[in-house]
Amino acid sequence: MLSIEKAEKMFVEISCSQENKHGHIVCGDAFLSRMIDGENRYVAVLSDGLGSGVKANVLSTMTASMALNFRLRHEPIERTAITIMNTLPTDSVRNISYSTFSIVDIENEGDTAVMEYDNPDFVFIRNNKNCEITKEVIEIKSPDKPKKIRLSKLKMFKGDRLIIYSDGVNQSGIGLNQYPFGWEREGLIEFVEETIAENPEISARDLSKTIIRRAYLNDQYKAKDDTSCAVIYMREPRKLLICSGPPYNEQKDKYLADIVASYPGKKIICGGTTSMIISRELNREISMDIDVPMVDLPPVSEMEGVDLITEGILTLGAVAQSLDKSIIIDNKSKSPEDLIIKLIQESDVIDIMVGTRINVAHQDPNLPVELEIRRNVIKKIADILEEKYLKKVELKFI
Amino acid sequence: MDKKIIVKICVGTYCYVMGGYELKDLKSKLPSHLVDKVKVEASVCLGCDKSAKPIPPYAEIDGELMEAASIEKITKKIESLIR
Ligand code: FES
Repeated sequence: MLSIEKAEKMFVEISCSQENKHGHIVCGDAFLSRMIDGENRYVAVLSDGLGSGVKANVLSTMTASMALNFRLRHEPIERTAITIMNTLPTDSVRNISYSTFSIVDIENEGDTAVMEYDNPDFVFIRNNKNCEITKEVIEIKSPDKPKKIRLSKLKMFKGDRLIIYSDGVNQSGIGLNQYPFGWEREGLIEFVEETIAENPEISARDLSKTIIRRAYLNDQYKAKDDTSCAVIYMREPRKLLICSGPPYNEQKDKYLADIVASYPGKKIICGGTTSMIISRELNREISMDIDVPMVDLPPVSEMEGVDLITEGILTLGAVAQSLDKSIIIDNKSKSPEDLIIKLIQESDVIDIMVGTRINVAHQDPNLPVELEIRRNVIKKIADILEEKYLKKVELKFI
Repeated sequence: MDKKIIVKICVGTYCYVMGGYELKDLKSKLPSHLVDKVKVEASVCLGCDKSAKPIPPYAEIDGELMEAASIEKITKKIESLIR
């Protein structure tokens, strides 16, 4: 069933932004996150590898993926840490194997454990203010000196934010008059509190971007180190409805139109016939501006109460491609597929209603291109959104 | 100035891939003496599904449906209507 009919769950938005150390093409920090739907669980890991460039990237990526997989299997934290430390290749110059990590593990709607090893202390924001959390220190034996892991347990509620970051953030600006010791954690906290005061509902995506941009500015646009910041934000989900395709049974036309009319969120209709059905049922006119330059897709149209109307299958195909290739879209782009992607990016929960009536015209053997089957394109989009973009997607065939 | 002739061109998927893509340029390709006499609108489907053997792309000129529309055919039709 569509989630509009279910009690609303809290949404966990996780987003990371990064800036590479000046002059490097890869980032020496690695960030990974996973949502385990059946378990209602989220795990996010940020790791900073020794040094910079490719070598650091390999170290941090290994660390992050090991940490993630151990957590997913509910391995105890000590074992996770020991295994990571023993597995990492040793740096031949410094004779140490080294990378840091911060692991955030959220279960059951907010029970959170944070494990930190040599990364800066996370920042926790509640009621738009910083809150310090007491930490337990676990010592792990190691051949040289014992390693200390900081463990925190907390319950996150709606509105809470947790911020993990690499030392590139708190050390940004170091050495400059303004920041002899760098921006420091205090500077970051102050900045985050100010940013949230101005924009209390700022998404994890925008907040992490804003922080990284500021750190970059502190470094006068030449990052002195790899700089990463991930924000985890518990909030009311932003919902998006995408309708594509006429219902198999015409008697369901009205039902589809009612869902569009009453949906509590943003709405997109992909498909000419679908939009005509909804226009007819809701008695709302469709208007199309043909004067906007069309690029390679049919133009968008408008209807009262609907955020976007596009052509169906060609546009969805283009959306699937861009999402799959992680193409970064230009915010000002007006192309239909970019407009859809923008709305998707700004949403957490995406409900998709797929109409299954076959469009007879699309069966024409003379068609110069093979029109993909709607169901398949949409399934592909849904899979990508869940796996790559951590969106909650609910598909319904009608 | 008498009423303008309304030309609807279809930009639905079917028409679009079957040649309708070019119809979108109709406005700029009309001979200059016709430009003021015509209002070009777009439609998401003009009813291809009603025909047993549709021949896209479709256009509608003053309420009359045209199969296998092209800029040339539409221009001719408009000429005949204003004469
Ligand atoms: S898609 Fe053009 S008439 Fe139906």
